[in-house]
Amino acid sequence: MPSLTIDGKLIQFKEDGRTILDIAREEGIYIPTLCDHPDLPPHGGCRMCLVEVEGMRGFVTACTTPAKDNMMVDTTNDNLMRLKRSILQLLLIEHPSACVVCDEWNNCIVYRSQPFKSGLITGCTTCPSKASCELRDVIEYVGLDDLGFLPRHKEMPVERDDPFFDRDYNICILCARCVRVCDEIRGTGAISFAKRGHETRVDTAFGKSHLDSGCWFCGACIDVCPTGALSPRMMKWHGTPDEKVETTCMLCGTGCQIEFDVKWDKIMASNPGSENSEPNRGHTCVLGRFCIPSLMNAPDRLKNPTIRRDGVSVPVSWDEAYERAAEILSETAPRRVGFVGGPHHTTEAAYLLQKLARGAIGTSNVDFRGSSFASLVIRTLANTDGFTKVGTLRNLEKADWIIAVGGDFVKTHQVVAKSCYQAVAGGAPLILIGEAGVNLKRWATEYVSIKAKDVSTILSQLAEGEEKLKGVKKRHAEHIKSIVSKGKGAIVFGSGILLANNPGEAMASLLKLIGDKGRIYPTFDYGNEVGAMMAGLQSDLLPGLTSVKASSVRGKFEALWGKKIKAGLSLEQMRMAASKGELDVLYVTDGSLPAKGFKKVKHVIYQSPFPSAWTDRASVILPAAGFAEDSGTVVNMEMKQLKLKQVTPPLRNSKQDWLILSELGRKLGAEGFKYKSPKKVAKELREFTKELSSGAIVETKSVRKAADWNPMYRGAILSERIRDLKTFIDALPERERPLSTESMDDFVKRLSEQEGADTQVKEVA
Amino acid sequence: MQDLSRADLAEQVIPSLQEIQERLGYIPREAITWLADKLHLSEQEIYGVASFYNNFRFTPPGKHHLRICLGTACHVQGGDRLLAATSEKLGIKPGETTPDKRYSLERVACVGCCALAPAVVLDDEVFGRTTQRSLKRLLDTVDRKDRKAKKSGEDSQ
Repeated sequence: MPSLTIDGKLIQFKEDGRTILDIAREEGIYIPTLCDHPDLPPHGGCRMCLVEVEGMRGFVTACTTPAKDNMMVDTTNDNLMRLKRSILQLLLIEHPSACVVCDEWNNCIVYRSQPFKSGLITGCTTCPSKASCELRDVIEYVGLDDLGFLPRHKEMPVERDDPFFDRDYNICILCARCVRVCDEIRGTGAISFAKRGHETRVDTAFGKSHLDSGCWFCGACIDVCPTGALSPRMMKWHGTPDEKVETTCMLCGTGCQIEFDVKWDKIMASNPGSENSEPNRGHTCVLGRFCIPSLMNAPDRLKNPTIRRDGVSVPVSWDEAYERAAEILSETAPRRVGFVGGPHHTTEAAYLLQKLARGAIGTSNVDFRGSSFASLVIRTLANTDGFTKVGTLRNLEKADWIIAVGGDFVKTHQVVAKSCYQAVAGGAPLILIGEAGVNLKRWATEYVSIKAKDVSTILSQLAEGEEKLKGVKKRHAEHIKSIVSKGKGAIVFGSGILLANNPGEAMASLLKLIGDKGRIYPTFDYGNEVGAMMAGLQSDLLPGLTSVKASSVRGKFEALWGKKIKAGLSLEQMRMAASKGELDVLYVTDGSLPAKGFKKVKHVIYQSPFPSAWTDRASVILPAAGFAEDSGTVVNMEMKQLKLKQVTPPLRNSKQDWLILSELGRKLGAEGFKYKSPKKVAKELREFTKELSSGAIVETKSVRKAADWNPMYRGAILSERIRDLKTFIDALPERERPLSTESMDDFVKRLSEQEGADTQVKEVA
Repeated sequence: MQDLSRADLAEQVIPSLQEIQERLGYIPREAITWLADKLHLSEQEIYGVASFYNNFRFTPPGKHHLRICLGTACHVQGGDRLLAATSEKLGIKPGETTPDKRYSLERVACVGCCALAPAVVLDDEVFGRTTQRSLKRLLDTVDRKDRKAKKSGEDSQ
């Protein structure tokens, strides 16, 4: 086995391209670095990791030098340290370097980790950095205590015009981490180094705003910044949090692991979870990174149970509210009661909601808002035994080719986009079918620009291996077919395929096209659509994706719950029934459900964390906890069960969904609603979901929906609550332009005509 | 450019920028957007490259392009004073164009005529051993020629 010596310590290692820095870190030998980051390829920019290797000329950077057999490495000799001090001094010329010689340095160290920012105590106005500053750590390690050179403040104004984060490039040390993560990891390239020499700065093209430069505000640049140059605007003033808790984000179907900063029992900030947490591995999107605290701490959250007395909503105790809800539910004929859940419940809550309907009331009128896409995907997969074909994001990064269809997931699922870009950067060709945003077009090897309704035609032609592809030139069609004919493929598809002429056919074709080796990646728009399907929150499906028509399974449930089970009304059918006056009570747990068509319903029971159009008409309001206050499980787009951990206690008087539903079930006098924790519910549900293909042969519904991206959570439209998000979403249509196909000659001609006669245009032979 | 791989496309950045500058005289803002679309890169990546190299300019050149050398030899021979004086006379900083679009001024590092320091390049013609006075005369001559050409142009119409 090859071996090398670092600082006199003999280390055996495998020669596999790992660098001296990697080996040193594994052995616990500290080599200071500034530009290095575990997520990013080596850069060799900051020169802080310089080491001396016997036999090699000069000093080499440990982060870019592969370890070789018999190397003698020295990391700390006097020459090196002197050199590093000088380099740091040069670097500090442009950093508000008073920090190094500041009288408050010791105070600052003490107060940095306190509840309040050290700046408030020391009067420092130059640095918004949190408890740790990597630059400071390095300064302390190399023992720098004087500046050496006259500082030169760059005097750039702090940039605060863009949503979500502030940028103070005066304290930027040009380590290029943000530029590299934006370009090489996320594939966006919204920022870059501009100019050179001492004028170098991180900038956009011609200094335009980040909104115009194509930034997605995913926050990856903030997460890698070693200084305080980039900081999240709304999350930088709370100091050190009391605790950090990792849980699952429910704002879309990716199921990212998010780490919340908790202080005074409130969520202060959300950061990406650890880089080892699947599926996102240290990355998030604009929603997960910036929007959750504003959502969970919203001042208008529902806090008390209320009932309507003489047309006025009155706060009451939970017991009274349950009493009234039970009264309404039990005095109505079961077939005239409807239950509409949402895609943001935990699987346990979804299971209890349909159990309440079927077991306690005796109706199968259950559905959830936004179920069309999940319904199509999950039913098709159940019918074809296709669950093993669903891939993980880690798999996606290793795909040999990728087809993207049915939506711009760069916008809606930024973490999926990151994995997709990793594959593209590694050389996997991307075929883009249908409308999509600018990033996807840029990454695409082949772009089939067709209307959303023709998507199913193209997919089936591809799956059947037909000679021609509709509307695609022969050369490109052949190229596309040669790409998809070999290797492990990946098809990333979104709810946009519902707009196709025949969504069912599109879904079947893409399963056929992907074959046995490839994987599919359905990008669900909401938190737990899959879980809601599996829990049986559908009028014609029992828990475990079994059709209500399957009598053997139905018999089991009927025996268990003591009620007859028949197929009920789906959401659209309930709407129809309601408009004809055939539905009297509606139990709504998702405020985002459009109220249209439900005017004639006599009583609405509304259970949600947020007020909505339903609050004004609800007879009973049951305030529910948000997802950060709830525990249980969710199933993400990878079909993986993820844990939801309770981060903060439920706000004021609100309660978790599972608790409300089981207490209400008991109030109704039904058997089997005595749960002590969501774990018990999960255990019960697991009995039914062991096998997920018990023949749910059900007609797939074709429902069209607008493909606009409008993130919401149980009645809360995020962009209406978070001004920065609205600014961002409003700016998005600007960047949806087709890539230019003009040739150089045409472009030059057009431009010189624009400029008029006084500009000379030289002809090139 | 459609059939090239991503890496091949990225290699096209500098040659394409050069061609644009050669044909239009400068790199207009629109060209960055257009080139980004063509090469499947972001505008920032193109701008980063273009702003790094001194050779690429983002403002249209004037009718006459004046380059003053500040290479070692020219610097020693007073090139910087020459630049400062010219800058004052034309009322523009290096890299800019006069409002009447007649002159653009640029500082360059060595034009390869060190023996003739300080050197000035006007419209691709090199003038050696320039002084403030000889440069002023040179510019006056150009002005006179232009006026004459304009007049004869008007006469012939």
